Amino acid sequence: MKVSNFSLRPGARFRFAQTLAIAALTLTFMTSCDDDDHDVHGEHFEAVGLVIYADGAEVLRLQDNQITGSLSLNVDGEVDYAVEFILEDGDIEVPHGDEVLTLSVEIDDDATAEVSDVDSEAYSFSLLGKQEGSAEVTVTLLHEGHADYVSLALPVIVAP
Amino acid sequence: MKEIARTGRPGVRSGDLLRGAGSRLFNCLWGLLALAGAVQFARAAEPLVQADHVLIGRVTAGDDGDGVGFATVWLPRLERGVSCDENGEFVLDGLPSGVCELHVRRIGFHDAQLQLNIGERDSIRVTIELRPAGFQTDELVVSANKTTGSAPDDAVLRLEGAALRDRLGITMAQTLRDEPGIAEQSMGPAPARPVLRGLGGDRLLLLEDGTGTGDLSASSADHAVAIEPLHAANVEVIRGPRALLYASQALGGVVNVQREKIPRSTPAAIGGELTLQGESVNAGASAAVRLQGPAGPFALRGDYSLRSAGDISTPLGVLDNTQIDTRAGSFGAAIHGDRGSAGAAVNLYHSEYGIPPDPEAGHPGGASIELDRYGLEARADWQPSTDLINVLRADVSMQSYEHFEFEASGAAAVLFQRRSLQSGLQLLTADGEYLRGGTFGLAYTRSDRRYDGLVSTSDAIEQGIAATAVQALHLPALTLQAALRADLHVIDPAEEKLSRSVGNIRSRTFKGVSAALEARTKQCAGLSFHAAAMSTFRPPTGEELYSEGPHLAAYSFEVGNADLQAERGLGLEAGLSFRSEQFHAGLTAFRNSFTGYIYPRNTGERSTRRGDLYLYQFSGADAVMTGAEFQAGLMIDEVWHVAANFAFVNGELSDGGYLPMIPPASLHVEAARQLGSGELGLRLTAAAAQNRTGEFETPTAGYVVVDVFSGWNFSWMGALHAFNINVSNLLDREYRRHLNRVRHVMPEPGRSLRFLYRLYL
Repeated sequence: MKVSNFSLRPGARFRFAQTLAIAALTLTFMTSCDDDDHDVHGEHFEAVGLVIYADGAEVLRLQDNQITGSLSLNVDGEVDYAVEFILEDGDIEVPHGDEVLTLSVEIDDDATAEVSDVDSEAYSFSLLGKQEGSAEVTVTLLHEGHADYVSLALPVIVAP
Repeated sequence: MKEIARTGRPGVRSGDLLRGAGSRLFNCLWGLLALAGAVQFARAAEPLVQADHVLIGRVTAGDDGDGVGFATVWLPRLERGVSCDENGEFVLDGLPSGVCELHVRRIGFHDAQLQLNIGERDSIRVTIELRPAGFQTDELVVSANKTTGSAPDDAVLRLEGAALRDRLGITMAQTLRDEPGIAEQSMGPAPARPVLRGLGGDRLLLLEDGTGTGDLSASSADHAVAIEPLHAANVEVIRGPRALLYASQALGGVVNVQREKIPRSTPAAIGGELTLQGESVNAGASAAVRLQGPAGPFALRGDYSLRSAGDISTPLGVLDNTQIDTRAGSFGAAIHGDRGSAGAAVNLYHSEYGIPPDPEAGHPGGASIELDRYGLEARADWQPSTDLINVLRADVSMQSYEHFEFEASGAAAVLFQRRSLQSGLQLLTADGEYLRGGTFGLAYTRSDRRYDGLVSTSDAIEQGIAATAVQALHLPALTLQAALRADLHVIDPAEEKLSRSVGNIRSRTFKGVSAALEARTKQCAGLSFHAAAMSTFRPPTGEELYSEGPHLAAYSFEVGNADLQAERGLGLEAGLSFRSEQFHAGLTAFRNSFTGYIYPRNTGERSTRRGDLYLYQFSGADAVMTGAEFQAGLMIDEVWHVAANFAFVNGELSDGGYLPMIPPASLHVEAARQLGSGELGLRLTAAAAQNRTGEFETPTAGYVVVDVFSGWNFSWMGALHAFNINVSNLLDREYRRHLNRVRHVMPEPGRSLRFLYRLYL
């Protein structure tokens, strides 16, 4: 009876070994050549709240997930707002230095008010009242395509 | 604020052994060194070749006595095997004295098991008769000149052959989800893990060839399992005492996917498989090839697969960003002597997949993940010349894993890295008349975890050592099996600091003892009874202790708890089963209680940093899970077969309320008719509504889904061909699985035609 282990002819064995050696080298090559270098973007601005000012006066504060105040304006009226961010240690500041951050402000009902003049260098934006009612804006700080900070929905009140 | 490298690959700490692209070269060099070492080991073993006992055998088909060529004869205890020649004959040398269990497998036939009592004679002759496969039953047909009968089996479930081909899905969770007590936890089609009796994560280990995959799938729902189902030779679920050989926390059990990257036997000839698979619901196609053969003294084996699928179609439309592209491969070599064997294998796994968008959770565009895993495994067995020890085994596995999570804009937001080392020594004692299956082991594990990007989670190194012992006692009417395990686990954060949300981030040390005892009666008038108790120990992971930041693809803001204590589990179960030639049924009830059950609790609050994400805080709470499983099968006649299983589990917190992500009660019923060498069947899956929900978790409605399945195989041109054609969700029902994290966005896939072709060479 045949012992099953070594039943191939030497030539066939060599060819099989050669085939699998090539397969192994291919695997190794593929392993080494994966292009998975991705840039996980650098420093992140870790804000935990924000303060919004109008004409230098604080009109809204979001801190510890509590909102005090609102963004109030009149129909056809336009108000400029400046934003500063609250850090974990309680300091209030705007991003500075080399960080490439973009301010984004979105409103859920642009029939009530419209966002304009969003300035990522001055961290400011404007709201134009269009009709009486209420809406909500969300302030986002974007860093290279992803959000470092997203606020809760902030109340907007448009009076007649 | 965290300093992160701005360009190229993120920096790695100076102490890391495995680093970035260089680690792959390092892995390859390690592989060559390990292979060279294996050769030397086996050569050293050669002079010792003086077989204690030789088993000479022949595998035949049915009553006609024709030899069955190329069947695999396998010794599970020694993890050794041999392929029969074309006449069905085989020789196994160097067998130790004592009770020896033999498994014989050949596609197209039922598996056979044989228990031999090897005494003083040098050589033993045996004939093993295989019965052509129709339906899957546990009935064995064995003739031999020694003791016959079925051997004890560690696995409570084994999926292989036609059953595995029928269920083969895009993930292991999808492959297993129709099995009793198993549910699928998912977040889109790609990231999915099985859940058994409500236990998921690392309470249900997922292993490949008995070792961890090194991925991070247990830590979050959006992380995929780095196992390609197409490469599975079989899948087994191990519960009870032997699960403690793998981990201290495996109260749910162990799912072990046998891929055999390191060849376990030397094939008689070059052979392999080619698999092609397609699915209509996602325009998916995949292909896999496996080749193995002898080359000089070596057994060589390699496999490779490609998988590509588009977005999933549901009855309500296309679910965006659910594509998946995967490639996986391995190459292994081994040498088998009469006194031992040694081998090594390298493997890679690369996957790119999407997480469906969830506007409510702050990601209207979805997220994407790209993951890579590279691994090296080596293993050596030595059979010393003693009547007390069967095998001394050493194994080591090194895995390098990383994945990036991308915003919808394409920006890479988060990097998770894990370099892991698993090593072990095992001593398998010789089986006697009463004491069998004795296994004593030592294990050392190390896991270096690193995070980059939009997270503040502390990097950490986890190390563990463990000592295990398992022994079975076979009495005339009863088998007892016991296990004991002691663990020491240390987690060191890269930086110790005080965090306002996480707490005092510091080094933590956990010590624990786990134990299990199982009693199983022999069948009497078809009836048998089993009962088991198991205590487990689960230290918290680095993520659970130190997480702090948005988890992009999980759509959550995760906050760890640096003061978490180790979770302790106590599992109790009892069951009764009946088996006759035509009918089998089993009922099992269980109760798993936990002290300090660790889970990410949805606080219902928004993150202060990311107001679009909910805050999940890791918590430890006392909890109890109770449930039951019932399964039955009936061979109505020669061609008709029906089977059913039912399972339910209830998870409650001790201080009131329900645990989240607990599957609803489920029922699976199937009826099949044999058609020549194939079968055609109908499968019905029903799930009850899940209203017992955790805090801030929404209920899910019940559903009924019907599938049609068929499979057949035939020989042509000297090769075996197997086909499976299935239609899942035949009625195109809209339904949602409770364990799908994005179930509120879109239902499960609609009607789908699935096709699988496998060529066995």
